[in-house]
Amino acid sequence: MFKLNKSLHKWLSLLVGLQLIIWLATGLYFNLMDHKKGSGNANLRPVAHTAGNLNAPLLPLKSLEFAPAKQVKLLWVLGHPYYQITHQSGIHSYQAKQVTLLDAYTGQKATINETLARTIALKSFKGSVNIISANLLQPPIAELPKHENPLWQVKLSDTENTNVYIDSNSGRVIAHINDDRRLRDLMFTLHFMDYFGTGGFNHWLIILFAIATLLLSMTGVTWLIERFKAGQLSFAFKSNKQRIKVIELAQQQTHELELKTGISLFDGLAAAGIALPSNCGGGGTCGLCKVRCNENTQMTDADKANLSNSKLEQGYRLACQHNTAEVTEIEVRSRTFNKPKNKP
Amino acid sequence: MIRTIRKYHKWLMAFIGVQFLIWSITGLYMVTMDIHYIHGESLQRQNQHPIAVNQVNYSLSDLHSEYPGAHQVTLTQLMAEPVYHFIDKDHTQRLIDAKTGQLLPLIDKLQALKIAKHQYTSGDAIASVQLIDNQSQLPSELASRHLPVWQVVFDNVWAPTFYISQNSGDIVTKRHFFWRLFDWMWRFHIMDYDDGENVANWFLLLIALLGTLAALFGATLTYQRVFKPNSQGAN
Ligand code: FES
Repeated sequence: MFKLNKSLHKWLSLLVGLQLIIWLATGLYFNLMDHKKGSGNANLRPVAHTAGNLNAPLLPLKSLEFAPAKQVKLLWVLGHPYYQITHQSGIHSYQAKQVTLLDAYTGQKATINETLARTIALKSFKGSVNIISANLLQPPIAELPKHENPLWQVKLSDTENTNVYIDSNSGRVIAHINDDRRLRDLMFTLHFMDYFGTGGFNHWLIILFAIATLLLSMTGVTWLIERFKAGQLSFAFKSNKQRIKVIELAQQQTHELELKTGISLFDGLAAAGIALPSNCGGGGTCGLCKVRCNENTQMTDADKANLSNSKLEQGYRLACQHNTAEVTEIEVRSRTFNKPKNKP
Repeated sequence: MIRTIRKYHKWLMAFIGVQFLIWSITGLYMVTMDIHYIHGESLQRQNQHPIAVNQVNYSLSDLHSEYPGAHQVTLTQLMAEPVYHFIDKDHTQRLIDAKTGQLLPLIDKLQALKIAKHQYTSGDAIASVQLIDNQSQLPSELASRHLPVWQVVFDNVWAPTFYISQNSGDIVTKRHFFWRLFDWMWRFHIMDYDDGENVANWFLLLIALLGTLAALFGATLTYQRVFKPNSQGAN
């Protein structure tokens, strides 16, 4: 059972490991970033649209022809009044809308044209810049994947490479996207695993990874609990000493060692200069760190999973799965055998 | 080397592993719950009827001459009646009957109940209704710029709640159990245990730094076990 937990932990970490590190690194970025800069609004300033007075009477809505509306707004764009007639809209402003603009003085159909968009873009920017280009983009828009309405993109010549996005239905500035904002958006894309440009975080890829990550955490916590029960996560500050007689088979030598308790035999021997063969470094999965103890030494699940019955009967156990306090005499065949450091 | 890395992975995770579990649980909740559902969009019925423009006898010119400083003027509807909503020059919100030009009083309790019932998508009864008009009563889930509002709570286990502006009759925000839970999930995700607003807290910084270290150690262990399963010298 516990073997399954360990191998699940391994394979899950292989699956999500890279993304997990990306989550942590981007999380650190969000923790440390300058939010004002990251929003792209460092050079944004409000554009004054409303004029003080009317130059002519506003045409009565009753006298105008338009499709059924759920809302009509008196919209001021650079001092000129329009009727912004919303036929269809979602709850959020980024959702697809059906809007008609009528000039409130003449009743003529109007649009936010390139000239308006260019003027608004310049007015929305603190400092003097030039315009490189202005284009009306249809969704999906690469830098604003959530938006479902056509937007004017006005490219400015500043050092931050700002693109001003203007709603073609209202002339409102949706965003200044500059290099700081692009960096933040990249971090969001990575954190939300939005590699297919959905603009959100409710997609199957991240759900799959979130499930795998939860399992990874759960198997990790289970493993920790198991280590704690095995006495290898002891928070005691003072540890006792255990005297162990170690017979080294390769060198035909015998040593009397005093090892700290509260750690694994594997770690204890390593501290004393006896490095047992190992691939997993004490994880109880490679089965290489076997030592021969008294046959009555309790068998752990990892022992059973890694050692044959005959080895178990002869008293072989995994040194990394037993505490120093469990043994008094062992036979080892070590990989390197430095002079034991704490000969009594 | 591997032995040391395994030891550090174990000990670091012994201290911060619980936060990994919290990150996984809260993250899973946030990605699986559709954000539009979380925001209660399914609770509120979208107004389907167009505005009866032919009944709008009071024109925008009339409005402009009567309220010279008016801005953000919108023609919308309140309980299927055409109304103008705008901000007057003294910054107060006003609501005007678009048929007659009459200034409408603040939304009272009965109207609030009517609006709530009219826009709610289910048939649950109303459990409570309460006027919130000062900062001291402000629940943490409501922004103070929305005041004054009627808080209408429906009789349902998930406690769906509408906040209806007393000025405009609009549902300015809504809440239900899953949104409230989402906010808690977010708080635990960013480890901001006081007001839940601040991603830039030192506690998150510390744990995320240690967590990155622990994860990198873990990655080394996985690399060793998956790609170097036959090396024996990895002590
Ligand atoms: S070190 Fe690999 S099983 Fe003990």
